[in-house]
Amino acid sequence: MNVATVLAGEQVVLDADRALYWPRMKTLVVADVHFGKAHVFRRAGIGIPRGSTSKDLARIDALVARHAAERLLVLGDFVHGPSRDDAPWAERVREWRRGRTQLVVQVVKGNHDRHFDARALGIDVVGEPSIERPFAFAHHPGATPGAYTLAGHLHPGVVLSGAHERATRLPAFRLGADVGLLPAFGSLTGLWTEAPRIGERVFVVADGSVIAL
Amino acid sequence: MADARLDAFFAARGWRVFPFQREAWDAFLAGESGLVHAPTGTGKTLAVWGGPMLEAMRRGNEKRKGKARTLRVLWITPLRALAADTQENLAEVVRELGLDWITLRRTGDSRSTERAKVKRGECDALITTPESLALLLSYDDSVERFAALDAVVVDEWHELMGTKRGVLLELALARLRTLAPRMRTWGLSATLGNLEQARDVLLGPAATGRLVHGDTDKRVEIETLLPESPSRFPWAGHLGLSQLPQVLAALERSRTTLVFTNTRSQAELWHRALEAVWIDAPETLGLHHGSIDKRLREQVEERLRRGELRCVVATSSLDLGVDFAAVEQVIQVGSPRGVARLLQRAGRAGHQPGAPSRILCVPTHNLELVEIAAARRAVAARAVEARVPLRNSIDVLAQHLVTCALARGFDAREMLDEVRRTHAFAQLRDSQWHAALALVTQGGASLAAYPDFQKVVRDETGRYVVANKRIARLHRLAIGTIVSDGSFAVKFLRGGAIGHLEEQFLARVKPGETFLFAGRALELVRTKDMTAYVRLSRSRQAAVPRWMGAKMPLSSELADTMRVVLADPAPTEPEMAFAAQMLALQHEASRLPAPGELLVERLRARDGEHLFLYPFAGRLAHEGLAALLSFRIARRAPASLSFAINDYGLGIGARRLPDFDADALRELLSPEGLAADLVASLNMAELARRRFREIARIAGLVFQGLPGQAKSLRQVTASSTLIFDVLREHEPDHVLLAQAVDEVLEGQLELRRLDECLRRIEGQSIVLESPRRLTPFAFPLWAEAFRGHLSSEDWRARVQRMAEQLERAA
Repeated sequence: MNVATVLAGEQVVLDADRALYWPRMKTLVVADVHFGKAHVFRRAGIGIPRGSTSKDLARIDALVARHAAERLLVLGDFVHGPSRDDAPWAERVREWRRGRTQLVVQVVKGNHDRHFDARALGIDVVGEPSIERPFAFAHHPGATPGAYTLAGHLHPGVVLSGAHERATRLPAFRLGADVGLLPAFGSLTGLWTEAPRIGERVFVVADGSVIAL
Repeated sequence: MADARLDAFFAARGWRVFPFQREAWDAFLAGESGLVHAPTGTGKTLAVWGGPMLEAMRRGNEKRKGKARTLRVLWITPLRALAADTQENLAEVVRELGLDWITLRRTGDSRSTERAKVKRGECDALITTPESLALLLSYDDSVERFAALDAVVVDEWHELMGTKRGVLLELALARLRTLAPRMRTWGLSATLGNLEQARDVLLGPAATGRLVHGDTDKRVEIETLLPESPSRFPWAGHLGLSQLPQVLAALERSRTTLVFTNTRSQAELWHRALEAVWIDAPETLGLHHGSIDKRLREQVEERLRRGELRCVVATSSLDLGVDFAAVEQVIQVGSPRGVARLLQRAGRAGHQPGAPSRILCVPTHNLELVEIAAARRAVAARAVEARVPLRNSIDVLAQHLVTCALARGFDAREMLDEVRRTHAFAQLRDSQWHAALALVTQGGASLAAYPDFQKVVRDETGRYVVANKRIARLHRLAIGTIVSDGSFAVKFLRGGAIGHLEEQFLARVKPGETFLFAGRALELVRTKDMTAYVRLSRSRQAAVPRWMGAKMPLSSELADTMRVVLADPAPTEPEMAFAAQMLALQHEASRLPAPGELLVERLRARDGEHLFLYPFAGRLAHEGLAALLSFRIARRAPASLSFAINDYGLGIGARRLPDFDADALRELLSPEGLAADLVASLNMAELARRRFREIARIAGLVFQGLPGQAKSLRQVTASSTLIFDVLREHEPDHVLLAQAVDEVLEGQLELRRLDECLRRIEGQSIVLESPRRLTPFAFPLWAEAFRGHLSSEDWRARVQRMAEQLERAA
C-alpha cells in the first residue's frame, strides 16, 4: 500500500517498493541501486547468489508500469564498484535499457559511480544537484538554497521497538524540512539507522506497505 | 644416561618424578600418542615435554649446516598470552639438560623478526596457536617445514574441544599427520566428564592412544560469603555490590586475591566499587578482562607474578594460564555456572602440594545460594561436565580447504580421506563434502553458478589451488574462527591503546559523554576509522559498556543437583539455612515445587500478563522452550509475545494471554513435534540470522572490519544479515544456512537437553498457581528485560503500536 503526500508543495507518492513517484513530471525516483554489487563480491571470493540484478530490473519495470512513469531518475550509486563493461550484470542492464527506448533514464552521479561509467550502459549521467524546482535531486544529502533536496546515499531506516516486540530495523523515507531521504532501492543494500529528528516525517516500509509514523 | 640427566634436573629443584610423568615419557618413547589429565600446577607440562627431551638426548646433538634446523616439536596453546611463558619454561628445560635446541614462538603478537626466523626454519620447537598454525599451513613451504615433525603437543585441550577453534585444530592435525606420518599427538587437559572422548577427538577416531592420569585427589573447599541479613538480600540482580563490605573484609585477610566475575561489565563495576573504598596504595588493585589492551593486561599479569598486587578483578581471561604463586585466595562473584569452571577457578590459588583449593563464593541474589549449595554437592560427587565436540562445521571446513589450496593445492579424493580422519568430519556425508567444495570453487551449490566467482580453481593437473593474489591476501587476513563484535579500538587522544569496545555500545555514547572502561572514567572525544579517541574524565556519571558475549548457561550437572537441593536441603548447608526465609515466602505466595512437579505461575502486572515456568534446565534450554511455547501460543491466536529466561525458568509476557488450565499447558509442553515447531517458530529465523554472523565470517563470506584495514575491505563489506537474507531468498538450501539452523538447535537451544526436559515434564504433575504479586522465583525473570519476541500479528498493527514507543531524538 502506497502513501500519497505533499512535499515542497508537490504531490508525490511514496511507493512501498522503495521508490518515490512525482506525478506532475511522470518521474519515478529511486536511490542507491548498487548494480553489480554481487559481481564485485564474487570476484573477491564471496559467493552471492545470482538473480539480484534481474530482480531489481523487474522491480523497476513493475514500478514504471504501475505509475505509468515516463522517466526514471536515480539518485546516485547506480553501480556498486569497478567492473568490466561486459560483466554479466552489465550486459543484463544494457539489454534492459535497449528494450525500453521510451523510458528516459538519468543517473545523478554518486560516490560509487566514479568506478563505472553508466553511459556505457546507455544511461544519461548528470552531476549533483540536478535542479528541477521545487526539487534539487542529489546523491549526498545537503540543503540546496531555494529548492527541496531529494537525496540517497545514507540508506536510511529506523529502529522500532515496543514492550512486547523485538526491536526491528526497517527501511524508511525520512522527509525533513529542507532535505528528504529515500531508502536504498537495491536488493543488496544495507541499512543506516538513527533516531528521527524533530520535525522529520518518517514513513517506514514494511511488508509491502508504506506506513507513516 | 638421558634419563639420569632428566632425573637430575628434577632433583636439582627438590622435585621427584611423579609416576604419571614417567608413564607419559615411556609412552612417548614407545611411539604412542595420548592425553595427560592433570590439574594446573602439578607438573603436567613436564609430563609431555620430558618425552621429546629424552628422545633428543638419546639422539645426541645433530650436525647442523647453517642456521636452518629441523622442526621436531610443535606446541599449541589456546592463549597467545600463554605462549611467552610456555616458551620460557620449555627453553629452561632445554638449557638445563644441555641440549642445543632453539625454541621460537609464532602467534598473532609475534614481531616480524621472529616471524622471519620461523619462516627460515631456525628452530627445533615452535610454540604457536591454532590460528597461527593454520596460517603457517597456508604457505607452500609447509610441506617441507613439517615433514620431520616428531610430536605435536596441545595444551589446555579441554578449552579447545567443543569449539570451532578445536575443529580448526583437528583439521590442522590431520594435515600434519599427512605431512609427517610418524608424528605423535599429545594433549593436556583439565578434568572433564568425557576424558576418553577428549583423547579420541584429539588423536582422530582411527588412532589409539593412552590416557594418563595425574594426581587428581586435590581437595576443593567451597565456602560462601553470606550476606548480613536474609531479609535484605535481593531476589534478583547479578552485581552483588551489596556484598562489598564482606568482600573487602575477606580481601584484608589474604595477601593476594583474585576476584572472578562472570561478565566484563560486572568486573568493571566491581573494580570501581573496590577502588572507591580501597585503603592500600591504589596501584595494588588491578583489573583484567579480554577487552582491555594486551599491553595493559600483561602489566597486570607481570605485577601479579611479582606479588605487587593485593587484588585483581578478572573475568575468564584469567581462568587459564600460568600460575601466579602469590595468589592466596580466590573469590567468585555470582553463579559459578558449572562444576568444571568452579574447579578451574578454585585451582588458581593454593599451589602448595597437599593443600586444598579453596574458593569463596559471593552470591548476588537468593537463588544463587541454592546454586552454591548444589555446586558443593556436585563437586563432592565429582559430577564434572562433559564437553561435547562439534561435528560437521562446514564453515570451518570451507576455510581449511582454501588454506590447503593456498599451500600447494589439494587433490579432492585425498583431501576428503584426510578430512574424514578427524572426529569432526568422520561422518561427513558425500553431499556435505560436495557442498563445501562447491562453496569455495563456485561460490554456491548450483552447478551453473557464477562465472565471475573466483576463489579456489582447478589447475591443469586437476588440483585445487588459489590463483588470485588478492584472494590469497584476503584469506590470510581472515584465517581463524575467533569472531569479534565489530570492535572499535579505544585510544587516548595523545596516543596509547586502552582496549576495544563493541560498536553497538559506542554508537550510543555521544562525544563529551563519559563511560567506564579498563578501570578508568573516559570521555569520548570522537570516533574515526573504527577508533574511539578518549581522554580521562572527572565525571562521576559514567555509562558502563555491555558486551554482547553469550552468557554461559548453568550446566545440567549443576541444574540437576539444584532441583535435588531445593527439594531436600541438608542442615549442614549454611546457604540453605540462609535462603530459608525466601523459600518460605515462595511457598506461601505460590508453591515450592516438590520433585515430580512443574510449577507454573500466572499473574497480571502493569505491562501485561505473564506466565512463569520453572523447569531448572539452564538458560539455553529455557530459551528454546520459551520460543516453542510462544510459537504454540501464537499459533492458537494471533499475538505479540515476549519472553525472558534465566537459568531457573522462563517467563512469557503479552498484553493479554489466553486462558490455560493444566491440561492446555500440558499440550503446549508436549515433546511431540519439538524440532519441527522450533524450526517453524519465527524466532528461529532470527536466531539463525544471529548465528550466521560467525558462520559467514569463518566461511569467508564476510570480512571482519579491522581497525586500520577497514578501507581496503570497504567495497566487499556487507553485513552478515544482508547475506543471510539474500541466501534465504535465492538459495534456501544453502549448506551454511542449514548449518546455522543446526547450530541454533544443537548448540544454542540445546535441543537434546530441551527434549529431555519436556519428557521429564511429561511425567510430572503441572501445578498452576495464580499468585497476586511477583514471587521470589518470578521476580528475577521479570527484572530481566523481556528480550525474546515472537509475533503472529500483522505488520501494520505492530508498526503503529511500536511507533508510539519510538524514541524521539532530542
